[in-house]
Amino acid sequence: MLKNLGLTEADSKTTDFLNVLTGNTVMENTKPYAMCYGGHQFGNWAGQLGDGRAINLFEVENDQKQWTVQLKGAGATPYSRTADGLAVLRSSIREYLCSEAMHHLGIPTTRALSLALTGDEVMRDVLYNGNAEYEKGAVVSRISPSFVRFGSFEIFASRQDTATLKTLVDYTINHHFPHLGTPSKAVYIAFFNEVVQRTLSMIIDWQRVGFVHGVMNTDNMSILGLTIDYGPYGWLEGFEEGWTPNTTDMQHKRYRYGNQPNIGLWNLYQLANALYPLVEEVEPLEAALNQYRADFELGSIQMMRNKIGLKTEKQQDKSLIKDLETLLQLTETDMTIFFRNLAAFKKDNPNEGLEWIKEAFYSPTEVTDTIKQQWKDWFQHYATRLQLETVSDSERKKAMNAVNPKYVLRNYMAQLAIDDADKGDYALIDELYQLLKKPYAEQPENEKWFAKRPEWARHKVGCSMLSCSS
Amino acid sequence: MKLNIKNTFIEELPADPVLDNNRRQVKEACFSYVTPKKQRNQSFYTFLMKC
Repeated sequence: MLKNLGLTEADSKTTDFLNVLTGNTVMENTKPYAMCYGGHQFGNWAGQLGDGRAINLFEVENDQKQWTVQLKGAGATPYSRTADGLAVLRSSIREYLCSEAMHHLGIPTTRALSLALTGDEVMRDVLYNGNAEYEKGAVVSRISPSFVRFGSFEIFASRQDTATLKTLVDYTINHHFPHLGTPSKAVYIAFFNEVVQRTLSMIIDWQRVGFVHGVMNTDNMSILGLTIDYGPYGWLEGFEEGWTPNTTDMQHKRYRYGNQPNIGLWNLYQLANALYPLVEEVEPLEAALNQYRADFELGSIQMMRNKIGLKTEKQQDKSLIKDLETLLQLTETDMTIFFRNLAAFKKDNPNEGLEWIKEAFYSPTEVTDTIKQQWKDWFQHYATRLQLETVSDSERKKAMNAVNPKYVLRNYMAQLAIDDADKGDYALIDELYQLLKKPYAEQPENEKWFAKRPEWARHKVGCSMLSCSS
Repeated sequence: MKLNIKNTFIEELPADPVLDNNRRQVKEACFSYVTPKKQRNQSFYTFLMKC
């Protein structure tokens, strides 16, 4: 990231750099600011929100690219509402590691540049249950071409402030979608279409790797289609469409894994409503939203084809994939291990199928003869389907390993790094950071991280349950 | 440390005229100017990670 900004390793060792990226000094010719935006939270309009914990320092232009540098946890703003604008080490480690992991998985995301301890203690109630404790304070610096959100537009639409709305839309197009041309009604429609497509593509990527954002409110949706705001996110361990890591969302599970594509669409409807005053026509906005539905259908099947190594398209793929998704949920089955090990399957030996993937089962005793038979049947269908492909087993394996990561930031891994860091040992943060730089590589020396979630982590706070507290 | 600073967001978009850092409703503006908090223990600042 340093290089992207035009900085050197030597720069990063200076006191200047440390002071600026912790908010301790404000650089000359810069004026830090907090953005005003609104948003729909858990389906309801929440009014004005804004950067309550984030402070934008400045923009940098380098190699004809524009970057905004933002601090998270550097103090209160007019938008902090009842909070203090600070961040704790726990949530800062999670943001730092996950945003970088996502980048290296090839998923559009904001980036992290640095993670620093502030030396202050911050009071937090982790589960919002009245048990507040002091935690180490930290500041993360994060980088993105823009931090503008769906909610940035919604706030002006909600206040019938079309003038400011137009100013912001025009600015966004001019700086971040310049290929669309000079802002006009037609360009606004093209802009919306592109946001729809980028958002969809990002969410299909999430589904591919088992990432659950946890709090897909419209103020957490980037206008650039980047993954943004790493809060109570989690990674699927067992493949389970109904899973969410966010304790705040336990009742309705609005933001569960299997619902993310629907929520993406719902959020885009809110954006369409916000842009309507500039477009003044419903049809083109609706057409873009309908396109999302159609493209999601096709895109998610294609993504699953890639995951199981199918290069060609056949009529029966849809049912083969649907059957697989059902099977994966009959008994807790580790998503990452399953797809990674499936790559070793030999199309001439369907009877071996179960052997290759059984390591993914959390409770082997739950795998009854009936379930085993269902798997055997599926592997027969899969083998028959693979015979229609021209690629060899080894070529298929290579292609599958390029879309099925071996290493993801499992929930307990982040928690181990946090537990160590609380004791003053920061080595594991770097170990995980290095590991997750090459998520698709075999890295045999790191095999210990290619393992199911340990049993102690099943119901541990931070490993399977997270709140928005940060 | 030399950076090619640009300030397009604050230069091209309307600012909140109020400079106090109190919680408020902000109208007809895309942002408010703020100053990051100086922590009590400045000497404690340490980088754990840098990309």
